[in-house]
Amino acid sequence: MSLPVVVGAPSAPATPPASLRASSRPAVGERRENRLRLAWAVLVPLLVLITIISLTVGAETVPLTDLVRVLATPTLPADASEGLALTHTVVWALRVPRTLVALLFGATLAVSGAALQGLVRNPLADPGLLGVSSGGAVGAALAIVGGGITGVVTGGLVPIAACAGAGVATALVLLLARRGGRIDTITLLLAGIAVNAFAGAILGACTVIASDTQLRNLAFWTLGALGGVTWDALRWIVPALVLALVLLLRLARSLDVMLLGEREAAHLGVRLDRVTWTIAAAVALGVGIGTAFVGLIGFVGLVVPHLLRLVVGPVHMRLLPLAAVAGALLLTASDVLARTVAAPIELPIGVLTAAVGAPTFLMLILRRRVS
Amino acid sequence: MLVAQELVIRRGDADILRGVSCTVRPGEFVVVVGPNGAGKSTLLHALAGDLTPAAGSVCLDEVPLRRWDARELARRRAVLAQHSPLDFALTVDEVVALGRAPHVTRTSNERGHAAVVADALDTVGMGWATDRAYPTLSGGERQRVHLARVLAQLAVGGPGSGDAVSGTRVALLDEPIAALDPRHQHVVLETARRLAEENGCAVLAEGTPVFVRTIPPARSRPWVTHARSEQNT
Repeated sequence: MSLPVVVGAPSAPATPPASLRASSRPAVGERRENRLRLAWAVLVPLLVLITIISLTVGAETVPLTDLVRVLATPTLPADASEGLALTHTVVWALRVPRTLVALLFGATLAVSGAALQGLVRNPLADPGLLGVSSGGAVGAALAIVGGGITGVVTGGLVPIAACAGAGVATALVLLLARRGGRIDTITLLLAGIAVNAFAGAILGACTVIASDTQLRNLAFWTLGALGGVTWDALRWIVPALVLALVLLLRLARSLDVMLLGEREAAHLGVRLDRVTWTIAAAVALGVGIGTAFVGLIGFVGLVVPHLLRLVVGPVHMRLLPLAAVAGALLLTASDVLARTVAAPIELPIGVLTAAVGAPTFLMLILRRRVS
Repeated sequence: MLVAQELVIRRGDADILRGVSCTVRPGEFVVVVGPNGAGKSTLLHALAGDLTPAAGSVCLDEVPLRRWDARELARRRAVLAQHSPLDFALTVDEVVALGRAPHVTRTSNERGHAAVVADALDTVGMGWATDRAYPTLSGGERQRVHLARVLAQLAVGGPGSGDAVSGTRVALLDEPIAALDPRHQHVVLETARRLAEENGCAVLAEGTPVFVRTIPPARSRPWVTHARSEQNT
């Protein structure tokens, strides 16, 4: 076969090389589209189911009929029976805030992880590994212990301090890893390790000078628990986490363009600085506020995006919304497990997510190495 | 019209480009020729706005590059790099669709963009690979996919796409044919020429002047850079 080199050559062949033409498997894009539809069809009903379970299961089991009746009447009618009054209190004062926080924080952790991974183009980025969560915990711990020593009322101080701590940690790792307008992923992960170690030191120091009540509060941060969530906490959590989620989801398209590379993204009109700092701020806000009330919860931000990428591919326009749903599902399910497996004792939820998350993550790493 | 004036690009202490001026008019097809290290890629990056000149300026349609809105500029200027760092398992049409990113608005229709993407892939002879995973392609095929992305980026879409109707569109291609077999070299050069004819201009950097002879002659002119020739001696 002669290869035309000069002007007047025939246009490009419309057929693929022979080695590819024989393939009869459905193409990658089509398979992913199908799996995307399947993922939504499975995850959404599961999320509804787990929400209902989370509202009914616990120290006091709420029958489904009662749940419907109680949810329909946010203010308890005067003629309600004693049993129904108790159920009403359990559902509205305990279960609703707890479930809401599990859903929102799970979604925030998963979307934060996916967005950070997209930003640095490395699947190992995660709010926990980069030190964002422990930065938040340090901020909260300092506020509690410092507030105790100085006698300052700490009501609103703890979430604000947690947010600031998370913000400082995020900014620190990103600035350290940034070299000549690029983010060096190795430096980023090493900076995360350093921030985590330093945060551990501060948390340790706090436990030494903390009073007994403060100590119990601090222990709760290192393990995480959803039991203490009140309506007061919701006033912080709902606006902060919803805002963080909206900010991150809106960046999906920019994150997709950034898959091409930072310079290429700039050529396509993506403003890298704005995307980077919006993600940093949103992650610090969502993870910081969440951590202030719930404590350190690891692996959700790492495992959920990882698993979903295997199913629907790396496109963030698909990945981020799905990660929100899957993250909400995972954390709510973990919380249900945490209060049922060893009932009446409640397991710390961080213990559970780490116990499930770490082996899953190892499996994913091994699988990656094989392929 | 793309105009560079007395451009000086400095890295550390060394001047990579010293006092380069050039003008590319709509419809023109320019080839930058020079030996390795002559500064061809640097010139292209400077024309793309990646590098901040130590002196001089680059203007697109009389407006300095750094004064352009990033998205607005992205609809007018596309860049094909020598190497792409992309290693995510996107499908081929997803890669090309990323070229439409600066054109996507809340009102733009998906089907219009999809048509542009399909068109661009057909133009570079990669229409058969639409649904394939990008990492499974060969080097030359990847390069053509990225060229299709550049075409999609500069394509003027249908109504409601929010595209600028007037103004120069510039394609800056850094050694676009180095990894290709002769037939596809021809396809790529032909594509670049056609792009230039449709009120655009194309600037190619090419290390091997032998290919310049195969470049379609319509209004094309080679430049020879010798910015660093004195230092090389």
